[in-house]
Amino acid sequence: MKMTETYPQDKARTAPEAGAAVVNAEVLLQLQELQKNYGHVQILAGVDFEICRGEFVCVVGPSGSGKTTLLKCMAGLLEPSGGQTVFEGQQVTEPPAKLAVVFQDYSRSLLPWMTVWQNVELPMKNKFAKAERPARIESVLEAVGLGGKGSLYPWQMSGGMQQRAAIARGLAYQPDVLLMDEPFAAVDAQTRIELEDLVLRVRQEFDMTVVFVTHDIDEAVYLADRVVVLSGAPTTVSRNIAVDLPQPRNQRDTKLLPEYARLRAEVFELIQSAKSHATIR
Amino acid sequence: MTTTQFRELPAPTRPRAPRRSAGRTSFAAGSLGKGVLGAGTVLAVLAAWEVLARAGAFPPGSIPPASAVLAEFVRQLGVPLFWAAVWNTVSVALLGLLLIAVIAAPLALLIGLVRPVQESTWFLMEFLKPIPPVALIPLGLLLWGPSPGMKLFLIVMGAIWPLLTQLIYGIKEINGVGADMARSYRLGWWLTTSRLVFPSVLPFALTGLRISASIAIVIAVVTEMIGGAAGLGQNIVVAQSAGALAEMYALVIAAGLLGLLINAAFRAVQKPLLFWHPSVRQEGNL
Repeated sequence: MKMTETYPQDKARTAPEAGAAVVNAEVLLQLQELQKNYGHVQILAGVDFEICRGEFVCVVGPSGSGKTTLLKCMAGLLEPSGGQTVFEGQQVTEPPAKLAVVFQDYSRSLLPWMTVWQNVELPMKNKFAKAERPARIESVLEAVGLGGKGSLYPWQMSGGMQQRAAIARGLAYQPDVLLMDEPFAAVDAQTRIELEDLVLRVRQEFDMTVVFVTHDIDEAVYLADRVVVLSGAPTTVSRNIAVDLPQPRNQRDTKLLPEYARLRAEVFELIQSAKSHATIR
Repeated sequence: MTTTQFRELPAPTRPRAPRRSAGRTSFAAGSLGKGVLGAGTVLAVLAAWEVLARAGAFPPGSIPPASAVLAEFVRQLGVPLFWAAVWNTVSVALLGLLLIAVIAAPLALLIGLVRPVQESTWFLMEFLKPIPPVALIPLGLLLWGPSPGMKLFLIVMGAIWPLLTQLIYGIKEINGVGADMARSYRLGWWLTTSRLVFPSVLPFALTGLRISASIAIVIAVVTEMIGGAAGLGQNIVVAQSAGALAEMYALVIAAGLLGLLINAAFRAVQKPLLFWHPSVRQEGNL
């Protein structure tokens, strides 16, 4: 497990431009004026923010704001039309080795002809010696609550369990940053609550930086150290909101805090105004 | 391939065993019902044939009774020349199939992945597809004479299309999320090809091969009949011209059974290979 030198609990960062001013946080991922056009349609119009090591950042935006496009540009899966992503000081042109993505569509990202174990092992093949793998797979499966379920095929499991397997695959790859693209959009509400807490727990356990893209305001505020709110397309960052809710979070107590309600309302209003100002295309 | 359906299953300790046995029992039960019905229909048709032939419903010297044909079929099974003819037909059909696979695989990759190639070849393909292989027999005879070479040429020309089109579909159907996953985890070309592309295309390839195989047998028999290469088809023509009608029909039945067997063989491989595919794991037929 990689030990990070600092784990800033106080990363109250209000503006994206403040990056250089923060001393105790190492910037891991930088989005610099990221732009993306599809033909004549501009989706991203200069998206600018930074993610520090150890941070849990939720990216929220109204639907159609290009969240998935943004994540793909961050992951090196999509070439931006302008600007760049910088990961650990290097411009991202292809997916970096220390970055893993958990996709929304687990039924397609997990390969049905492989067991859960084989799915988790697949990305490790180029990265870890054969002898190292079993113990590590065992431990990540345990961490996501799939201990002993490695011999199942994805299609023998519920949607929630499949997404757990996909998260385990990401963890086993031992990335510095885990990008999650609306990972719980396709599971039911109760499973979603379980998986949210799961992500918070493994993030602590594996000391992970997480970028979590979602359209769900509650989810974003509940999970994040910081919420990046996007405007509607053409998309820019409309606000960085530090979430100073106490850790560890708790589905019942955290959501009863006045601060939670206030943050939720703030994000909600931003999204609403983004929707009403969105360019009609 | 749509994989958007999920089933909540009780977690078996060894998933392979329960899955297989479940698949097998349901398959056996289904095919048993089908088998009984199918056999019943065959018997009914044979009985009708027998009655009509004995009642003189067919023109004289056209169709002997079913019993005579079946007796001749059984007798043929003991004749070495019959098996030689079967071998001539089957071996060339299978060789043709192999050739088809070798030609279609790289072609499909090229057409499926390279847009300009697809755009520049579609007209040619759509033009060649409907040409009946029989129409190319004169060309085959000119090039190779009545030989296995001619048969092979016609089989490839006529039977390549199902496999080729299926492969092209399969390559295009490789899902984007899977490809993104492979790229984001930097799987590299070997892992991507062997673990993602090959299994993704396999269902399409097997379906294509199965259809191509049936067509290959048909073309083999037809070219033997018309082009005069050795095999079942030639024996059918010889038996007809010798007035050995029972033998002729026995050989026709043999040709039919051959197609059936090849189809069944492919289905048999398909099930275990595609155990993960929605059509197999949900007790469907591929």
